[in-house]
Amino acid sequence: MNMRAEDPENRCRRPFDRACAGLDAATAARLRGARVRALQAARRPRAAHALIPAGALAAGLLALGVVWLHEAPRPPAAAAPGAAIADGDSEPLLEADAEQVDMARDLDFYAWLANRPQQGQHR
Amino acid sequence: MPMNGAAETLDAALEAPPARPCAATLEGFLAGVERRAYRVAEIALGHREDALDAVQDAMLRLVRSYAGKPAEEWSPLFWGILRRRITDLQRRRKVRSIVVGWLHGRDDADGDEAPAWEPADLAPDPGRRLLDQQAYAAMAAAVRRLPRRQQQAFMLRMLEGLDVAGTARAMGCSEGSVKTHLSRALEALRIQLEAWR
Repeated sequence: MNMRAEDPENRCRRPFDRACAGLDAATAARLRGARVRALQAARRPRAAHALIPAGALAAGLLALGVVWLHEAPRPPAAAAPGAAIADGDSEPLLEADAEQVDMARDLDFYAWLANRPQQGQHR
Repeated sequence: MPMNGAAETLDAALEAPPARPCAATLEGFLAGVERRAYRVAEIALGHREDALDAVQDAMLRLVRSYAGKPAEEWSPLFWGILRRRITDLQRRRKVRSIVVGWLHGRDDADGDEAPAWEPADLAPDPGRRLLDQQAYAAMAAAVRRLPRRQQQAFMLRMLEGLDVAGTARAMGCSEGSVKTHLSRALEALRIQLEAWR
C-alpha cells in the first residue's frame, strides 16, 4: 500500500476511522455515561410536565367533592337558634337568662358600689 | 496533470454522498456519533478532558433543544453545536494564554499550540498498533495545522461524511464557502502529508 500516492482524504479518513473504532475503554465508558446523562436530563422535564395534568385532575376532583358536600341535604338542627350551653350543664339556656346569671354572680360588687360615698359628699 | 487530478479529487469529495445512514432514535444517533465526535474534538482541542466536555455538552444541547426535530436534521445540528462549543473552548484557551503570558511574562502552551497528547491504543497487534498510532498522530497534527474554518470543513465533510449542505449548515456558512474551505484544506493537507510516509 503506497500511502504517498493516496488522496489526502483517504489518508486521513482511514486512521481516523481506526482511531474511532479503537477508542480506549475508559474514554468509551465516559462517552456512554455522557450520552445516558444527556438522555436522562431530557426525560426529567417531560416527567414534570406529565404531573401537571394529573395535579389538575386531582384538584378538580377535590373541588367537585367539596361542592357535592355543600349541596347535600343537612339533618335538622338539634337546638334552637340563639341557645347557649351553660358551664358544666348540658341544658340549653336563653341569652336573657345568661345575662341575669352574670348579674347575680356580681351582687357583692353592686352592694359595695351602692354603699360607697359619692365624690364631694361629706360623712 | 497534477492540477486536474486535484480538481477531480475535490469534485469527487464534494459530490460524495453522506457516509452514514440516519439513525431512527436519538439514542441510536448519539451512540453512533459519540466516538467520532470525541475524535474530532480531540483533534481540534488537543486535550482529552476538553474534548469529552465538548461532546457531552453537545449531546445535552441537542437532546434538550432539538429532540423533536426530524432525524435527518440531527447530524448537522449536532455537529454545528459541537463546532460552536469547540470554537468557544479554543477562544477561552486563547484568552487564558494571553492572561497567563501577561502575568508570568511568557507564553502559555495552552494557547495556539495545544499540548501534545499520546494517541490511544488502536489495535491489539503491536506492529499494527504502532502504525495506526503514527498514521493518526500525523493526520491529527496535519489537520490541526489548518486554519480553523478549513479544519472544520475538512473534518465535517471528509471525516464525518456530512454532505456539502449539511456541512454548510453545521458551519453556519454558504455551500460555496464550504467548497472554498475544503479545497484549500485538501491542498494544504496534500502538501503536509507528502512529508510523511
